[in-house]
Amino acid sequence: MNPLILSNFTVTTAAGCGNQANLNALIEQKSGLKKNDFLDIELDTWIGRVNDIEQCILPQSLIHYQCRNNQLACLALHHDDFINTVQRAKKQYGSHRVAVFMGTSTSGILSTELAYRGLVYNQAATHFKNPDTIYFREQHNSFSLADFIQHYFHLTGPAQVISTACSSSAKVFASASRYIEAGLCDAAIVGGVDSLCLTTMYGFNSLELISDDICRPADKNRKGLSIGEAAAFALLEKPQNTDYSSNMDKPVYLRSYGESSDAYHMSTPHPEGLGAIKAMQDALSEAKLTAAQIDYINLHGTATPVNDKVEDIALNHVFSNQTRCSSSKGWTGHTLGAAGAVEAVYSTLCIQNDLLPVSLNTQQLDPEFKANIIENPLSNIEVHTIASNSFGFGGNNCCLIFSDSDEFL
Amino acid sequence: MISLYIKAISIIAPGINNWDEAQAVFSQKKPYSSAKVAKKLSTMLPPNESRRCSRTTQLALSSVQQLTEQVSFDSQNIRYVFSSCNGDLTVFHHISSALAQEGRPVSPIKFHNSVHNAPAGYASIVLQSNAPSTSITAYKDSIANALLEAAVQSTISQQPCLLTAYDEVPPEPLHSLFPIADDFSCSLLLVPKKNLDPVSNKNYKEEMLCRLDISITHKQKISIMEQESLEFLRCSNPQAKILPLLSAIAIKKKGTLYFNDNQQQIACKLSEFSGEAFE
Repeated sequence: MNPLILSNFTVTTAAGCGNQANLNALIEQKSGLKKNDFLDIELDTWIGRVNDIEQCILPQSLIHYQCRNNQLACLALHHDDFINTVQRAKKQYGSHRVAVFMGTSTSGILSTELAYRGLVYNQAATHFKNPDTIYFREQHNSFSLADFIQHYFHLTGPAQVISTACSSSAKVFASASRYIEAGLCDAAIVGGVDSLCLTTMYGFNSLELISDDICRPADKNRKGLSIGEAAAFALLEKPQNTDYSSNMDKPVYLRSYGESSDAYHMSTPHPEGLGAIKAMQDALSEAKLTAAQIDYINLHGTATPVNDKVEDIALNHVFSNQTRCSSSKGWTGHTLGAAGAVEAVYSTLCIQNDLLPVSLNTQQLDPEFKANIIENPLSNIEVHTIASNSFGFGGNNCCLIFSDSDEFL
Repeated sequence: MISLYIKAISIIAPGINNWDEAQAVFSQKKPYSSAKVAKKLSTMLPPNESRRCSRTTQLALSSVQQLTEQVSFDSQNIRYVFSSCNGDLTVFHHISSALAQEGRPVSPIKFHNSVHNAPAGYASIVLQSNAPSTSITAYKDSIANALLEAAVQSTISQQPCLLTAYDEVPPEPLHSLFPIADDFSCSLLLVPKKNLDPVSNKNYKEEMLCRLDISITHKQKISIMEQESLEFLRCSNPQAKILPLLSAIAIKKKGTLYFNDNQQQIACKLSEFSGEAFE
């Protein structure tokens, strides 16, 4: 693929709202996770909850879209001058030439879940048999997120939601880059938003994948994941179409994507990491990079016993044991369908700031691991090229590569 | 504009059980009479997996299976796109009902079946395919958007792309919010070049069904079915909005068809039909 510039980007997680807050949290090693206090969910676990979502009110014309997921999207959009970047692209290319590709796994289903319990989110109690209390298109349906973003910016270009569980918002980068290459749009808002809901909390609990402890990626005693909510967006464009790079100290480009399927099991990764290996290898070959040219890998690293073990096996197959890596889930929790976009923005922040995060919350590194997990803060390093892994249920894998160079290294 | 070829089609719809029947109905060799889609659908899944997966997955997989029976392709050297408006509302209904009960007893199998890409995951297992798959939704305009996504993937990767679209009748109270009269599923095998064999990547000996030129457009009149009963079928399920395209291919009718009610419109120009062109 031809490299695309991230002409702007923003991230909102439990660790902070906006890029600077997240960057500070990464530097200060300050996790956004806390003991579960969401609604009346009585599970003994930790969550990555974003503050102030409830206070975010959508514009009156889009008030039917008001649900936790779109509130989180709206909150995140208002950081890092992202709105102005989109407005600039819209003016430059035309509203029909700016596409919207969003990833989510659960969209606004929290509202429907509560309606089933005879409640209405943010409203007075009513009975679920009355379907009028559910805004199906605007809140429940997964496309709701892209629909909201498209309406918010008055865009008329291609729009779709990719929902492949926890790889959803990594795959939107792949889809958007193909649409730009095919000439169907000039710029694309890519991103992912997933918000806390009962289905994922109780669902992962039923699979015994959530921990009662804070999530500890790559730890010998890791017990499972902490579920988080987050929103992250980026605007992708052809580098030659924008002078944005000249305004940045260090412009960052999407260099490639690799996608694959495990073909093994719906909720357990392939034991030898077959699909993960293929996704990483395809991303490297698409970027025309060797494994040695990758400075750091942002791991999927959910902190479940199986995920981290298999990812280590897969990494060992593709990379040398010198390549530095860590999971950023210790800050955000596993933000599911938003994880790909969150970690794409984290990768971009790491390249721009020559920063590599430690494996937060890891007390004792799993002695079986061969990968070079970052245990202590690193100083005086240069960071140019990062690979970011996202793996989802259904065995759906995606690896993205970001770099500060759009030339072959 | 993106140009590529359609190699094969499969379909499961009320009163239409496969592509042969669809061709007979669309060419008016056989009168159309609506009948409910069978509750039991054959899939390629082994019995244990078949029991675990939902009916929505079975609906999607049975159209994939029909296609594999018509044409061979290399399941590794291909890409997959899946289209569903809402994912699996039956599974969602079960989980949400469980969440409204004491103790919130969510079933782990129901939970892993609840992801939008569940049919894609099961398909990768039965086809033993490590190839990429993308599951999308664009609400009621999912099918044409998925066709565009599949065309883009096939063209950019220069590999075949198997598109599968499906939506099942949802249970109440969700049915009132998203009425679907009956189940619908179809698969289209797209190939980037006329002569590209999806098995060997060498030249094809057999003919393509037709050439497809797909592009984005606006302010066009949406394509509908002329025959009243088939127009009723088109409106019965959002994925069935693809019927005018399937019908034009069946009767080899050249021309451009337009899709999407809410999203940016998509134009599909059909030409270069196998055998004699319809006049």
